[in-house]
Amino acid sequence: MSVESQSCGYAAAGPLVKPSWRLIPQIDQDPRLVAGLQDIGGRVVLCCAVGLFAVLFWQINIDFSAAGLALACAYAGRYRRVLILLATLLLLYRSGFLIDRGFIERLSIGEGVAGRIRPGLLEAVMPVVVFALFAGLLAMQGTGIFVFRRPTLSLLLAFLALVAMTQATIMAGMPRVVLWSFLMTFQPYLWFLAYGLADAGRKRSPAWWHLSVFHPFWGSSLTPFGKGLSYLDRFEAKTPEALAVTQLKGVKLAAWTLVLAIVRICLVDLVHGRLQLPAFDDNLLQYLAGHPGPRFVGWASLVSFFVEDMLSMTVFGGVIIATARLAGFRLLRNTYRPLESTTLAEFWNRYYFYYKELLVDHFFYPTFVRCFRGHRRLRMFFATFVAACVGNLLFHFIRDIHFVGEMGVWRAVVGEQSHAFYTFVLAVSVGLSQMRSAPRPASQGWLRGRLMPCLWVSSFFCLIHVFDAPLDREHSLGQRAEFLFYLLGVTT
Amino acid sequence: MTTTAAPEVRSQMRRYIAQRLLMKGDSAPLGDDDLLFTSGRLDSLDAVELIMSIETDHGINFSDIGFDLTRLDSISAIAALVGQPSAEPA
Repeated sequence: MSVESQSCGYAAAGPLVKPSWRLIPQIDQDPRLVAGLQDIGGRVVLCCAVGLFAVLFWQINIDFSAAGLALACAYAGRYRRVLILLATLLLLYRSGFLIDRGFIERLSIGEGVAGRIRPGLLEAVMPVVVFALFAGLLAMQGTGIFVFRRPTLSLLLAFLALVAMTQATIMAGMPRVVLWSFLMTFQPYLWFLAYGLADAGRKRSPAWWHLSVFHPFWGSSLTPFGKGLSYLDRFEAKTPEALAVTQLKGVKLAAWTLVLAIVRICLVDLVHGRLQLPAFDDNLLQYLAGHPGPRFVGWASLVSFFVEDMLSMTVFGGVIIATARLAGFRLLRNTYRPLESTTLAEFWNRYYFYYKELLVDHFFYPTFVRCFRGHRRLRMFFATFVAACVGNLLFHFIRDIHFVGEMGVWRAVVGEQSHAFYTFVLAVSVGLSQMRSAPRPASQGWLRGRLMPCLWVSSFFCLIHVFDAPLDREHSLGQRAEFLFYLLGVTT
Repeated sequence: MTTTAAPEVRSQMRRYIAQRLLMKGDSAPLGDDDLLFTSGRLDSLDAVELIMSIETDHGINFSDIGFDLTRLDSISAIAALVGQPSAEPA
């Protein structure tokens, strides 16, 4: 089997111009380097190069230290699986198993049980309970019980039911704190478990293999980078030559990510430092406080926010994927030339690949194969809508579930209004784009075939950022719409 | 449902997929075991077209057999899916 380069997979319509000069040389295609990396000397050089990258990244406040663990896993031979598990556990332990400790502390005080609770004990017990539960569920998968045949749906319903239970009066005090501790320990792994259960239903593997890639040591957000075990198996280097090529691809990506991280720092310094352009959020707050800045400043801050966000996403995903590749997993990049997208659906694919995959795997396909099978266009649109709107909204609601504990269910749901509008517009637009788009022949010319569609797609995503910016729990849909109208010149 | 011999399914699928790849500007060689979706050469839109094509041509209901994209991830996998008895409707 061969895994082609990503540039091939994401080739857009229209003539592709391949530059003869490259900033980052294609070291993975040099046979001498590939051969050299298969002996001890080459591996020592690689370790030194990775160490150098870790230092350079550290200089700009980016943690690339997991790359050392990646190299250890890559060369661990038959102990590879065990080492991946230990590396993952080590980094999870270092980050307190991703439990929002501040939230639990605030809740304990609010419930009046802060004096009776031992936070250290709770934080030690809960990960054990949650991981034992995961292991049990993974072992039971494939037994034919209904909940295991629809794992994602069952998982979401169970999680949301427990969240609803936290609101019951009878749960006041210690029970509520314990239940929230369980939920906050469970939540970072929810989508990993969804992939794990889906995988376990297809192929039997020991539960600890699945658990070893729940928030794997190479990094992740709530979105699993590398999905689950079966997906990773397909990308795992099986021969010394494949491992060498994969690691060289990792080095190449690390170098490119470093360049982009520096570009981002320079851009932020130029835009917000030298040119004194306010951040998008500050601009919005100024407008809402009745002190609107010049309209062109609003546009400039929106565009700079869009560009900075894209660079941040590329750097964030680049570090993770480079580390995974150094460990021997030839994963696709998370962000790949999003500005070259000619359709809305393609932008999503290129901007945050693993998140798009999560929505497609857990919402789009299950809906597509079940609903409106006799209506081709409606079927496509509905499945896209369920993924891009319902799935997207649910994902973010669960990601920010602490708002339910802090604000109550009603206010947390109402606080989603701006994001709900964002996902609705996105889903309808992507749905229509999916229905319209068919592979186009490369004969439309560069202007009509490439530049204009790329500009339209980028402008669309830049504009709807107004409804998807970080302050979305604090400001209403109406306030954001008002700001957009101001930018568009509809209001003053 | 049409019963199609495995070699014929393979060549039919190879033609269909090669055409879709070509329309996306991908003219790289296509082997029967090459990964289509997990490699990024085809995307979810292509998967949708492929699902509908298999449903129409081979009468397979993916909701009955449990949808799994890995079963469409190569020409060989598709040929195996279309050929296996459990994929055929009752």
